[in-house]
Amino acid sequence: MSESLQSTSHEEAGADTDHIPPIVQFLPLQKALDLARANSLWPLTFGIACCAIEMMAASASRYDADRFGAGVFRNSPRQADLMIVAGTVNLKMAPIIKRLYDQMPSPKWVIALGSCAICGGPFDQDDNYAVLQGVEKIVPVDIFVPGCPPRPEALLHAILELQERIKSGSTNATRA
Amino acid sequence: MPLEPEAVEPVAEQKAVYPELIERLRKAGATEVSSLDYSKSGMDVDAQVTPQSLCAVASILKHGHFSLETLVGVDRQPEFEVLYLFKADNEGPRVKLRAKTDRETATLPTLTNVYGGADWYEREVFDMFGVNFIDHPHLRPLLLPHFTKFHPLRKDFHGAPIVIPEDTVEIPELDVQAATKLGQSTGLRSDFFLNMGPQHPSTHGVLRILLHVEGETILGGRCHLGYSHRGTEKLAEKKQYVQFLPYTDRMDYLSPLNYNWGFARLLETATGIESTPRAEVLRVIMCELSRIASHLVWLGTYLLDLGAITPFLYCFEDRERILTIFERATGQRMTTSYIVAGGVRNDVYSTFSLEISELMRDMRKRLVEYDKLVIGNEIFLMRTDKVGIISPELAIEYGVSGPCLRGSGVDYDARRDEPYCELYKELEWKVPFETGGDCLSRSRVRMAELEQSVNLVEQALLKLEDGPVRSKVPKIFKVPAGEYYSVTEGPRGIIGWYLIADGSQIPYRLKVRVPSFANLQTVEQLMPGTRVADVVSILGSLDVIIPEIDR
Repeated sequence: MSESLQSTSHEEAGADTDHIPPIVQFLPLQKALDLARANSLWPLTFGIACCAIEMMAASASRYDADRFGAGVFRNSPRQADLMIVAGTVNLKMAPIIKRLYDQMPSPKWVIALGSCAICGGPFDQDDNYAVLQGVEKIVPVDIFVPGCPPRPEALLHAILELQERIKSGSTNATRA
Repeated sequence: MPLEPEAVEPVAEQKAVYPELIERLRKAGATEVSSLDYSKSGMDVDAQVTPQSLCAVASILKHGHFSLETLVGVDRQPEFEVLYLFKADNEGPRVKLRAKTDRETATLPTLTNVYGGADWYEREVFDMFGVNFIDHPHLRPLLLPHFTKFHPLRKDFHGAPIVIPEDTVEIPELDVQAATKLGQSTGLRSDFFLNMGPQHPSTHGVLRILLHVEGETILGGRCHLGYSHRGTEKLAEKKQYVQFLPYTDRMDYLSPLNYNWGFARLLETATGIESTPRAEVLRVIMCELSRIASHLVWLGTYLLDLGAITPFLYCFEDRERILTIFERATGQRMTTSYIVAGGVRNDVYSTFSLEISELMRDMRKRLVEYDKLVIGNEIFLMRTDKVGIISPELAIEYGVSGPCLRGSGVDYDARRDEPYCELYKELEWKVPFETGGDCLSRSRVRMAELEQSVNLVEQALLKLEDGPVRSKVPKIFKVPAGEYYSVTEGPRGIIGWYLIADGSQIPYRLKVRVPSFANLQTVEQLMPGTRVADVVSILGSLDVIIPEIDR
């Protein structure tokens, strides 16, 4: 478990030259940490377009994302560890998303919510001059949620799925 | 009614002509002035102006209390044409000015000296067509990133990959220069800027405002748009009319049905297709529900911005009930694509009326609660009373519409004054308006509108009779060549669609006049002298949707 985790993160961080796997590994501690992290995801309040409203609905009264420990929406990237990219990312916005992602403390995860964030969605035209064709081109994405916009249940499912992956240590997250 | 329109007959009843206005426009230097048929083209007067006479003609209109509704740039190949759409309030005429410029020079005089609201519109045309406006105070890209070097709505543009340069942080030098100048002249600090957004919870999307501050007091501020620009108007020139419908949902996702209706009405105006009586009733019911849902989101998020978290949960609970009805009737919660040319896409389910009347009964109780808890709340009053006052003159000059206009004491509502649906005339309701012009007035107007919408829905339900929901529409949908304009009232104000058709299945040019664009533009005028916290309050009270502005 620990080895696979470490090797995954090592491979992931292969491009980052300064990543060195720890010499002493604390497997039970790591597991406990992962469990804690999975159940207290703090998403970044960051709506761009339509999907943001469904994201709000997911955290509001009927769907209540707080039940899964993921309802503490933070306004500052420095307090958040989950970025939900909710909406169309255009080329003016792309550098800002990258910067926000960089500002978040590790470990951090990304959910691409909706078709636009996955691949440009309905704006996925060969000659669309404005829209980034998928947020994956700038940040590593863990979960893709299809839909235009996805229902709040879909977002909740994505959060549960992400929690499972965090617990099993198989995410794209870069670890500090 | 602080401002009287020119005395004319109501537009719909008879073909109105405006000889006096036409004569005055001619005198001011307009050439080729003619009157148009409102029922066919959506415009009353059409005038060609030369670059030299543009400002003089516009001054005549300004004097007649016309408001600038929008600018439409068109690439006529080879020359460019800019259309200036004006409207008088209530029953007055709609006037279109046309100014031409050739492709090589591409320059026109600016209108900002006459109409302050022309500022952003001209910048948008500069963005999209590369037309330079001489003496514009602030001519730089509005929607596109500062590093792009093309003009996408030109017909000879066929897509170019944008290469994002390494250094992408835009330092708006023009803003800095203007602020420094202001600081020198007033003796205040000139170097302190506060960057608000694009990632900011109160901007409702991705809006960036660069505030120039002295302590907590704001000396000035500039909006930076385009962080949600998706090139919808260019896409429209590649899509068939029917294919474009889903994109109308995604412009204003809080009230997609109102946008659907606007687009459907445009096509109906252009082709002469009429919808069925049952479809008209369904449209009114769905659009008023959509208005309620949209205003509920406004109420919840506005109070969230002002620091009250609980109302958000209540508002969303009510909204969810409306969305459930939408989902059952249209198949989608938000992006409905329900109202199409010739009627609505499909009939509603059997318990539709029953569910809605139950919901409306509960809504009435909830509205009383909201009113008592929120609008009468002392903290709310302190944050909104006398904050961000839009005077009626400013509102008309900037083309403000919707609850923001009615909050400034101008009694105009397209549902009543532009007869786009007969049913609104038959039902009993009134247009609420307040005279304060501040955030509180706008909030009160919206709260009163919620109640009126409930009224409208309840009455419309009684008029729901059996029948077809869609009239015959040709399989291959073509629009005869010509220019059409249609106006509907959305939750945020006037949604205008300007279509230039060339007789094919694809629009030659489709321009959307979005209400938030004009409403947000006033914010630069409202900010100086207020505190940083007031900006949040002002922005919330304008109720802007950024993807609608950026398109």
